[in-house]
Amino acid sequence: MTLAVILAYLALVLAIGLLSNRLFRGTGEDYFLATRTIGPFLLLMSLFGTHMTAFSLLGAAGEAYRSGVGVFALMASSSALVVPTVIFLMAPRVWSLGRHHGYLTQVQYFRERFQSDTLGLLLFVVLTALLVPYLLIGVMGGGIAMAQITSGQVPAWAGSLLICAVVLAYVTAGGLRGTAWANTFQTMVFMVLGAVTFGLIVHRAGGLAQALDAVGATAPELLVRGPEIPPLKLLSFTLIPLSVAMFPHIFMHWLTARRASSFRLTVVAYPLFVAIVWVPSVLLGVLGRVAVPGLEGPAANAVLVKMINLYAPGVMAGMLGAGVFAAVMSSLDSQVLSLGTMFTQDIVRHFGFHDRMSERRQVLAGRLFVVGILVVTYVLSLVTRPSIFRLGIWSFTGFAALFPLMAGALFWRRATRAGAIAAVLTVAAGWIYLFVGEQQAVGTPLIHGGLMPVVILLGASTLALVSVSLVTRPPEADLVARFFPQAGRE
Amino acid sequence: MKGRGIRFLLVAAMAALFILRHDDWLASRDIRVLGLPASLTWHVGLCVAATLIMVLAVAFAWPRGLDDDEPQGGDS
Repeated sequence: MTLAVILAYLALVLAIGLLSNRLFRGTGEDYFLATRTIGPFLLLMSLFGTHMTAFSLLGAAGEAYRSGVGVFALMASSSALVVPTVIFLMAPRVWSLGRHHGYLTQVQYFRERFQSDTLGLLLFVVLTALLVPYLLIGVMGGGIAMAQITSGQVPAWAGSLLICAVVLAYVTAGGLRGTAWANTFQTMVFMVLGAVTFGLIVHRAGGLAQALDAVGATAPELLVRGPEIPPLKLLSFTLIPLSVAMFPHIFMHWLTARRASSFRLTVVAYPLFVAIVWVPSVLLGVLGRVAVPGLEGPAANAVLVKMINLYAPGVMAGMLGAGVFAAVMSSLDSQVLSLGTMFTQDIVRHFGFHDRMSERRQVLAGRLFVVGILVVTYVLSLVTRPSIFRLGIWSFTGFAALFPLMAGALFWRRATRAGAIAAVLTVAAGWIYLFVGEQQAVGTPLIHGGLMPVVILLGASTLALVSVSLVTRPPEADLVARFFPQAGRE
Repeated sequence: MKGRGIRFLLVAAMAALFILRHDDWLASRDIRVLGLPASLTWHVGLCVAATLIMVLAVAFAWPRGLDDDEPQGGDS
């Protein structure tokens, strides 16, 4: 019965994505950006659903299971402060530039802003490489959830495969509009069902006070931030949500807005939405230490699903499982679409392959690229079992370290092509060095005192952008005027 | 109050929230506030405070001139 409910949910999401195809206007801009017609509510729901992933539900619960309520301070409250600030400062400006210059992708913007094909190609490679671990979170999380909820009826590999297939189908058919519709539906599903799950489990556990008392008796360290999160680590994590400025899938959603003012609702509602999603996830992870003890390492990623199975089996588990899949798929779809769009626009079209390929073949090339990336991600999900939380942090670290590039492009007229390339190369080299270093130094913190790699990488990329820009020739006046219209009026 | 003054207050308020996020005085205190562990309640409170600041930011400091039907006044 649980499996039937989940399959029915997947079919419903697929139908919504396919239904949106009826509004398709037959243009590239409509497929990739829904002709920039997304209003405030759809924008809020699709942006929030895209940003919240398996990381926020499964990863947060798993990390809370291991280290307690401090996870909320680390990730949620930093996101609640940083993300709306970034959207407030950047999204309307990006939207305005995108509309005036007709951009469909992030790479297009940076390529034209800095007049550099090299930068565009470099960014395409770096952004795609950083998206793979992010995709892996969703594919792995979906498989784990499916296997746990169906008590092994559907193995994890089949669950991951099913989710990849459903997402690929409705993204291919519905484009950005299908993705926005499906995301809006799925965001409502995971927010509502998240609250229902929490209420139901807490009620069946005898109430929140009693459940927290039980945790206090067996693992009191989970109810405080504790020494596991020193001040420097808390400070470092403030920088992680800066990644939102450089996610290609978020950038793509920014371009879909109907008006600049459409972002106002998102800016205002975002902090509250973060609390609504993260508080139940973190608390259920903490309560899981009493209800399902003994989960070691990455196995803790499954604590939320195990709690659902324990306290709400049957049809309810199917519905609640659908909530988990909603969170997973609402991110996976936008990431997949942004990858396909970047490949089609920034590689196939920009580098002239369109002369030798029909429109249909170009779209096919984009879809094949997406399938290829999903296959790589899927195989990685079968052969590795990292912590969803750690994997997410590494991906976000790379994107956050690229933040100075966006800030420089939007707000600093003196930023130059060489400075931008230096910043991206610094992030790529530094990220690989620190990531490989961490894998080799298992159990030994690479950087001491709680300082995270994001601090080092962000500092290095800022330094590279500023110093190289200042020693190279300033951008031409007409280029500055194109991207800073107010400069021409001064 | 002029626009510039309001923007200064908004920036100061957000900066204060970033500082208050470092709740070191609660780091090892196992007490409940509003039924939740104190640290969790504190950070939920920060989320609510951020919402209120964003309401004011959107009302008083939204960048102007980006939509076609708005006066081209540059960024406010």
